[in-house]
Amino acid sequence: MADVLLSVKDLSVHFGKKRRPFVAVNRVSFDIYRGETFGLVGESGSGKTTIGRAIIRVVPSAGGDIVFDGKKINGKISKELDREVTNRIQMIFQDPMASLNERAKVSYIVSEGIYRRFDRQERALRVEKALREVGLLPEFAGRFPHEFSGGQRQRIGIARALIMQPDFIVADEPISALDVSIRAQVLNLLSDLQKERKLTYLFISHDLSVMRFICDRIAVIHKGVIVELAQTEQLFSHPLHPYTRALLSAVPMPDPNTEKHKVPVVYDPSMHHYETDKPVWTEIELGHFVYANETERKEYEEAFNTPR
Amino acid sequence: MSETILSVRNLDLKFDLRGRTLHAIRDVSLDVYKGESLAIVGESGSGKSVFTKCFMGLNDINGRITGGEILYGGMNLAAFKTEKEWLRIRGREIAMVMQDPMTSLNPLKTVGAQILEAIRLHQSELDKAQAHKAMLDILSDVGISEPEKRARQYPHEFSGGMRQRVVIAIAVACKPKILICDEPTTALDVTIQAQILKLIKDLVREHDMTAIYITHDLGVVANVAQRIAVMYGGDIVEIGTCEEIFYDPRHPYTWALLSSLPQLGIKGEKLFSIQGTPPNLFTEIKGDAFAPRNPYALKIDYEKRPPFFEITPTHKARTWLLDPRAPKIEPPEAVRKLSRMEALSNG
Repeated sequence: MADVLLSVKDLSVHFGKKRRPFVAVNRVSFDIYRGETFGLVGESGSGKTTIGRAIIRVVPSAGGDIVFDGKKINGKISKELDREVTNRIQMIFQDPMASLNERAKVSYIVSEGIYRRFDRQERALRVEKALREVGLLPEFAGRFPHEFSGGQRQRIGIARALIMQPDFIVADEPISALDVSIRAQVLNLLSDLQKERKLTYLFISHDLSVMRFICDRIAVIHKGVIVELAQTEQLFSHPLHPYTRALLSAVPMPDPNTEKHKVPVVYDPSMHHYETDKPVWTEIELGHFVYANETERKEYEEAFNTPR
Repeated sequence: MSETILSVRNLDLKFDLRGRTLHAIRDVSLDVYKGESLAIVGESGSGKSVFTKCFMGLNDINGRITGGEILYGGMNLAAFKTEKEWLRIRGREIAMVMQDPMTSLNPLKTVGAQILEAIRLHQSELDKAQAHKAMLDILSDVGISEPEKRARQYPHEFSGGMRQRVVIAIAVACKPKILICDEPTTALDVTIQAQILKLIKDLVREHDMTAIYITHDLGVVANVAQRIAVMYGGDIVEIGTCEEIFYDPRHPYTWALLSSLPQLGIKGEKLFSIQGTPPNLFTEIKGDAFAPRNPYALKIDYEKRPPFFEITPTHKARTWLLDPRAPKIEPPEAVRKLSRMEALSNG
């Protein structure tokens, strides 16, 4: 088996009052292997961002374990481990217009994470290196965020994450706010960096068409529960859970003939009968898991064995 | 082809910005036919939004139309000066759905009141009760259940997709002839996006409207548009039916837009991305605006603006590559893949 870098076990995240909590993430488990891109897909409000935030310790977890490189990193941890986690796990945010400090220069934004650790000269050197790596000119360091376009700002956000020399990056919808032509540039940059630096990504998005291009494995999350997890090609060729199928049917295709005859699948959670027959996490084929009860499992297996 | 509802002739639009002049729309002509759905596609900064804002007089005051005409219903909209003139057009004749439903609604007014405002402003012949009923009808038309209850709620009580439905309700409240949708789904999830596009499509059909979609994402328009105009650097560089643009594109910029779609990318390989930056519209553009970023650019592209070459009666492109003297160039792989997809589905 490949080497597990990050393992999430039964993770729950609650918001609001202790007595009547809102369950944003409900007992979610998955493993991310070293060097892969793991995708987390779901609509807004599904808890995908919350999982990402729980991993970088911004949101406290209500239960379960997050194990990073053999060490538990959620809940109470020592100061040293906290620092290690901050260094090794970084995040790229969705909206490059909102995630950069408007009043700080690029040099400060990028070097903030290493500010106390190095003197001014060393910092400037590292900022220059990080900017070059994301395809920006070193002289941009003296400018302010408003002087840049959306794609350039997202590159600044990536440089800010890279300067910490992380192993693991949580990319939360890094390209949703960008133009199509800029998207391609940022996606290419992310995959180049992955090859050069042997990075592991958790890629969060609502758009399956992008995920197919960049992810090795994809988990589909609905209302805080992972309903299906598989390798990208498995998921696209044999989507099992009705919610996955609904998401797939919503992906717009640049092909008028398919589009004009497409019937969108609408997912209705009340189609499940989970009152007596409780759903469990089942493996249908090697590495392809789905959240289903006994009846559904049989259906899925049948659907899987009948060739299309 | 059916009759023309809106006709733009050689439109020029300039903005005055801190003493400099930005030439946003450069000599653009476009005919919009009655009952069609037309998509205008381009990157941010290509001028697609300001172009359609000219039809409603919504551009900032530093923007001025310096040439050309916009003909609609026997009037030249480009010559309009006062707000009073525009009020005859806005809402009743031409209406707009804005991009971001989070910012285009008033947070202090109930949803019902905001729709009522549009109805009472443009349909003053209705009395209070009739207007109220029209408001509830339109709410249920856009797929909002329990309109009585929802009308009394505020925008923050609605989800993103529901808010966009409200924005659409306001736009179609006065039964406009032309509905302009400016990136109607960019701020929304993929699943909601499909629903909203279907809603707009159905409404347009039901109310006999003409729809103009503005978007940067070619992937979205395959479903909704009958014709597509590709815009670059303040100019329409290619226009044709949906099938022609997807299966037989001719302009290198359209090729580039199609190739950069992740849907067509192959995993593990580099996704095509357009090199360079969009043109600086403060400086006068010579030749083809796309030439500096165009790997297939010819010498003449830098010198003379290409005319429209007609490929079919409905399909035109502004590129010197279509000149009989130009070298033959194969479109990139992703584009050929699409044409093969058409061949497959046709037989």
